[in-house]
Parts: sequence; C-alpha cells; structure tokens
Amino acid sequence: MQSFSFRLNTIIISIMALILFLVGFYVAGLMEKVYVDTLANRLTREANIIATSIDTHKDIKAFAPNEIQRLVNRFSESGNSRITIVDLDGTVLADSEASANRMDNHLDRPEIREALSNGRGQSLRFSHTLNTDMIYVAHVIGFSEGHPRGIVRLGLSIVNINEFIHNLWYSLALGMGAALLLTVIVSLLVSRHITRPIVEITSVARKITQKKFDSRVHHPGVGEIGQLAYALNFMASSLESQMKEIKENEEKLSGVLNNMVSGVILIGESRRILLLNSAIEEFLGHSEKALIGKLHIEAGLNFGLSQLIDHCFQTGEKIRDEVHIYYPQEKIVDANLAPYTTDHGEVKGVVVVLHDITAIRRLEKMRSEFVANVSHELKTPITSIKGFAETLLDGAMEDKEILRQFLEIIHSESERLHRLINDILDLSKIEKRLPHQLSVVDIGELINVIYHNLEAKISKKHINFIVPAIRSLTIEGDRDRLHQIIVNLIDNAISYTPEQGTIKVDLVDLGESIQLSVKDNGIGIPKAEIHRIFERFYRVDKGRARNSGGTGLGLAIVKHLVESHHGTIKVESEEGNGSTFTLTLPKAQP
Amino acid sequence: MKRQSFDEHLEHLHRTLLSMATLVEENIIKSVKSLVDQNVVLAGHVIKQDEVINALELEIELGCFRTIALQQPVGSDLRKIGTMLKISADLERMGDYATSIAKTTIRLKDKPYMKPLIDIPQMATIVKEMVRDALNAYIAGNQEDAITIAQRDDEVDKLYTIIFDDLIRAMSNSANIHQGSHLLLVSQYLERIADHVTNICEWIVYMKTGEIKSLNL
Repeated sequence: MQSFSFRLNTIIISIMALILFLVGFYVAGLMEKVYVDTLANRLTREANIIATSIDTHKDIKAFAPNEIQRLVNRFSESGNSRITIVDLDGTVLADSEASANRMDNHLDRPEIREALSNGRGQSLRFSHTLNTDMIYVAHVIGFSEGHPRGIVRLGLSIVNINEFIHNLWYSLALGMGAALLLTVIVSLLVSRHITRPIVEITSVARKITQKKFDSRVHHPGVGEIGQLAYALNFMASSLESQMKEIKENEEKLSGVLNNMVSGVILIGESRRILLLNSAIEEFLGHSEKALIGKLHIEAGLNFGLSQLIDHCFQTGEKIRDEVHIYYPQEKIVDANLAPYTTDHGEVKGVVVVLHDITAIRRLEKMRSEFVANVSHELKTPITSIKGFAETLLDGAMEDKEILRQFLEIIHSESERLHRLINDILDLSKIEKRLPHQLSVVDIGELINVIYHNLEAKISKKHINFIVPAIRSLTIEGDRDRLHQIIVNLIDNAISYTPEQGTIKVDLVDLGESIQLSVKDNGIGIPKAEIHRIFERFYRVDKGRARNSGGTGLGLAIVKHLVESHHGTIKVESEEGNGSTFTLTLPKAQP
Repeated sequence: MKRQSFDEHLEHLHRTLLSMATLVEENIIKSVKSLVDQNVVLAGHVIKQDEVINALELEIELGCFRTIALQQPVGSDLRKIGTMLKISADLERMGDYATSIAKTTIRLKDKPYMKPLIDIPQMATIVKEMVRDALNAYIAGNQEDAITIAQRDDEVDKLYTIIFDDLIRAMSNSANIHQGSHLLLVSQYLERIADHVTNICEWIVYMKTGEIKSLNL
C-alpha cells in the first residue's frame, strides 16, 4: 500500500499539472488566434486603402503596366507586406516582390476565389514563389459599387508570427513549470504536515498494543487529527492507570493466595485449572506451573475430589466434605467447594479450598485413645477393689486371715489408683506449661538423695547400682521437677532390670550443658516400638509392667519435663540387652 | 462442527477413564491399608467402590463404541479410542484384584498376623507408584516414561519371590497355613496388578507410535 502522503502528493501534483497544461494550451491558442486576426485585419485595411486609392486614380484597365508597378512599389515601401495586383481573369498585373509577367495565373488561389465571390478573402499557406509561410488577404476593387475591376492582394510572411508563438509557448511552459515546481514543494510540505501526526499516532497505537502504555503522541497536530491524537493520549493514560490498577490487584491477589496455608484451586468451565496457589503443591505433589491448564482429574488424580468438583459444577451448590488424598503423602483434607456463577445463575467455575486436617484428625484420635486408655487403667484397680470388697461383704470378712489379705490387696490397688491419678494430674499440669521455680540444683547430690530413697528397692532385687564418678555438678532448674525426672528414670530401670542386674548412672560435664545417662541391662525395647515408648500408657511388656506397679505415664512425664527444661532425651536399646536413656540439660535456663 | 463434537466426545471419555483410573488407584491403596491395619470397615468400602469401577468401565466401553460408530475416527484418533478401551479393561481387572485383597482382609480379621506385614506393604508401595506414574504417562502421552515404568515390574517380581519363600517357610508351622496361603494370594494379586500396569504402558506406547511392543520381558 502506498503511503497517504504519496497519494496526496500525486493527486495534488497531477491535478495541478493538468490544469496548467489545459490553461497553457488554451491561452497559447487564444493568443495565436488573436494575433493572426489582428494581422489579417490590418492587411484587410491596407488592401482596402490600396484598392480605394487605385480605384480613385483611374480605372485599373487604364494603367500602363509600368505605372501600376510603380504604384505598387510605392505602396510596399510604406509597409512591409507584399502587394500583388491581379485582374479579374487572374493575370498578375503587378507584384511588389516578383516580376509580374513571370507569375502564374492567380485565379486558383483560395483567397482570390473567395474575394471574387465575397469581396474579400483570406488564406494562410505556403508560398512557392517566396518559399515561406504567408498570410494572404485579397480585396476586390470596386466590388461595393457592383463593378469589380481587379483584385488587390496583400501577403505577409508569418515566420515572425511563428517565432512569436514559439516564444509564447516557451514562456508559458517555463511559467507553468515554475508553478508546478511550487505546487510540488507546497504539496510536499502540506502533506507532511498532515501525515506526520498520523504516522506518530500509528506508532503510538502500535506501542500500546505491545503493552508500552507510557508512550504518547508528542506532536498532536491540529484539527480533527489533533483531536484524534489527544483522544489517543487520553486512552493511553487511562489504559496505563487501569493496567497499573490491575497489576496491583493481581499482586495483592497473588500475595494473599501464596501466603495462605490452605490450598486454593480455581477451575474453569472446561474443567481445566485456571489458577492455584503455591500451597497446593503440598497437597497434589506437582509444581504450580505444571498444573495450570490441566484437567482437574489429571492434576489431582483423586477420585473423591474430582467427584466433588463435578458435583459442584452440576448442582451449583456449595459443598464441604472430607477427602482422603493418598498421594504424594496420605492426607486428610477438608475440602470447601463453591461455584462462581454469572448473573443468570450459570456455573462459570468452581473455587476449591483445601485445608490439611491430618494433624487435627490425628490429635483427635490420640485424645480419644487417651480417654480410652485412662478409663481402662482406672477400671482395672477399681474392678479388683470392687470385687474384693464385694467378696468381703458376702461373708469372707468373717475369716480374719482372708480379711487381712483382701484388705491389703484393696489397699495396694487404691495406692495404685492414687499414683495413677497423681500421674495424670501431673501430666496435665506439665502440659499446661506452668512456670518452673528455678534455683541452682546440684545434680550429683540429687542423685545421691534419690539413691538413698530407693536403696530398699535396689537391695531387695540385689541390683548392682553404680553411682556417677562426679559427685557434684550444678545446673539451673526446678529442683522438684528434676527430682521427678531422675526418680522416674531410675525407678523404670529398677523395674525392668532382673534380679542381680546392673544399673549404671553416669554424669558428664559438657561445658554449656550436662549429660546424664541411666544404663541398665534389663529386658530392653524392641526396635519397632522404640519410638512409641514416650507415648502415654504405652508399655513394652504389657503384663510385667502392670505387675511392677507402673502407671505407663512415667516416660511421658519425663519427656515433657526434659523438654520444658530445654533439654533432649534419647534412647538406645537392644531387645534383651538393656537400654540406655541419655538426657542432655543446659546449665542455664533462658 | 462435527470435528468439535468428536473432540468433546474424546475429552469426555478421557475424563471418565481418568476418574476410573484414580478410583482404581485409591482402591488398591485402601485395600492394602485395610489389610495392614486389619481395618474391616475400609475393606468393605473398597468392595463397595468396585461396583462404581465396573459401572465406569461399562460407560467407557459403550462411549468408545458409540464414538467409533458415529464418528468413524481414523489414524491416531482411532488409536486413542482403542487405547482407552484396552486400558479400561486392564483397570477393571486391577480393581478386581483390589477387591480380592479387601476380601482377604475380611477373611483374616479375627486373628493378629503371625508377624507384622513389611514386605507386602513395600510391594504395594512400588505397585501404587507404578500405577500413579503410568497414569501420568498416559496423561502426558509420554512413551519413554511408559517404558521405564514397565521396567519396574522386575522389582515387584523380585519382591514377590522373596515374599513367596518367606511365606512357604512360615507355613511349615501348620498354624500359619490359613494366614500364609491368603497372604500368598495377596502378593500374587499385587504382582498381577503390576503386570496390568505393564499392559497399560504397552498401550501408551501403541497410542503414541502405533507399534505394539512387548514391555513384559
């Protein structure tokens, strides 16, 4: 496509050229005609004068040839035209520039023939006598009186006229060329003035489509084009601000979405994923980018969830349900689905929000298991107390021996109940994280005190108890709590060590912290269950532990207390070869 | 116009097949879980879900035949539909094996296992990964992946041999024969599921290349 300015220029220049050409032709033709006419008129007038003057002198037939030739010569001296006198037969009587008797009969000349019928004649032709273009005017002598006697013919070379006309043509062409050149320049300037804003507007419009919203038309021009340019600038700035707004909104949205712990998916009408947040990766095990544009069934590969999504599309209702995800990790997910609809109630998409409730479900399970365990633990002593008491009431109390034996059992069972309830209360107190009463505690001395308290139990089982080499080591902590930790560990070791076994308590100063270990050579813990021993009511050997009077809460309490002192506890154990509990406690509490 | 409707048909079939596939996958996972935890409720759920799988297979088969009859697809489109037909049949069989495992759970519910199940869950883990990867390969139409997935069948076969030997040894104690023979069947079911995954992989290769290649070497 040719440019607008090129077309504009072509049109203006060709119209101008055509006009100048036509005007030039017309003017040149007109001038030529006027010139020739004037010339012819002059010649006619001259011919008339000559004719009249000849006529008034005498009759043409009366002239002697020389006399008429002289007359002609005289006339021709006063003008620059050629004068020829012809009689009615066409015989040349005299000529100013040629010898009359050598000339042909002139009756066939067009101007003479015309003059014979009209009184005067005119003709423009080439003269063979003079070898030049001539204009001839003939006049009949005495035609007006009705007695024609002869013909006067005047001839004039039009070489001069042709020259004049050529000059005229040249000057016209020159003027027109100059006018055309001026037109070209003006037209170029005008078209550039018109098209420059258009070119600029076009380039700005292109830039806007390339999302360069900051581009503007800097030379808007005037008139309608100027208005167009201003409108475009206005559009660009409004687009710029709108895009900025959209971008900000997008940033806000993605900021909210990506900082959410819950997974969010937006599914479009074609059942393909339009939008999701980064949290979804944990649910579905694929990166955000890999999922966009996929069918929801392809992305999730979860039957339950996909069924819910399809159901939501069909009914257009909000759905809340629990979904099990098996891949990449097993998860229980609380899925909330809501459709987003058009004004006509058509479902355009579904928003899915997923909450990971695996931990909540596990805690709930643990709590219900705890309640079941507590009830079970409480039930055992109460059943036996109830049973023995009922037996006594049924008459066994009469037998002193049985009465005593049964009362002892009832006493020991109620002791156990008491311990159990105390442990449960302890545990709940510890779990409430009540503040410690911090003081400087000498662990070495504490171990010594505990050893003396438990000495009876130790010697009863003939256990070889090795006390640590370090007799004194102080740390910051709650004395009663630390006492409870060490008692529980040593008591456990005594319970699980057979008679004549060995228990070794060791204390190591690590600088910033201390390390206390209790090693026994008892029954040990099976590898598969080692991670469970800190669970409440967990027992490695169910029968034995209950006989030994444990509540199943000791290690759970120890773990909580150690952690509340910012320490750690770990266990090494081999089934049948004993276990080692190692705890590390910092010397100073933060 | 006609073309668009054909693509819609194909996409609908694709979605249904994937629904079926995910359901089968979940049933396999659940059935093994129910077996390990001796969870009879979950096993019952698996058995019930198998009806849905069978209904979905029927829907896919009818849909495929209808599409072939009405649209008369050729070339790669025909291969796609053929592949769907074959894969749905494989998936249905896999679903049946999951049901069989769930039924085993119910048969073995009364007694604790002679020892905790370790190798069977391990085998199940490989199998379910194979199923998941095969589904992804089908979605992506990736025949290279399909070939590597099929090679994992060897791991399953090895584990099957180990489990087989273990159980035979355990069954020398006659008290274990009932449990042992059922667990033997379970390991066989898992092995068969892996074989069906290999079949699916073969059909994925066929779908992409038009060549039928045996991947079960």
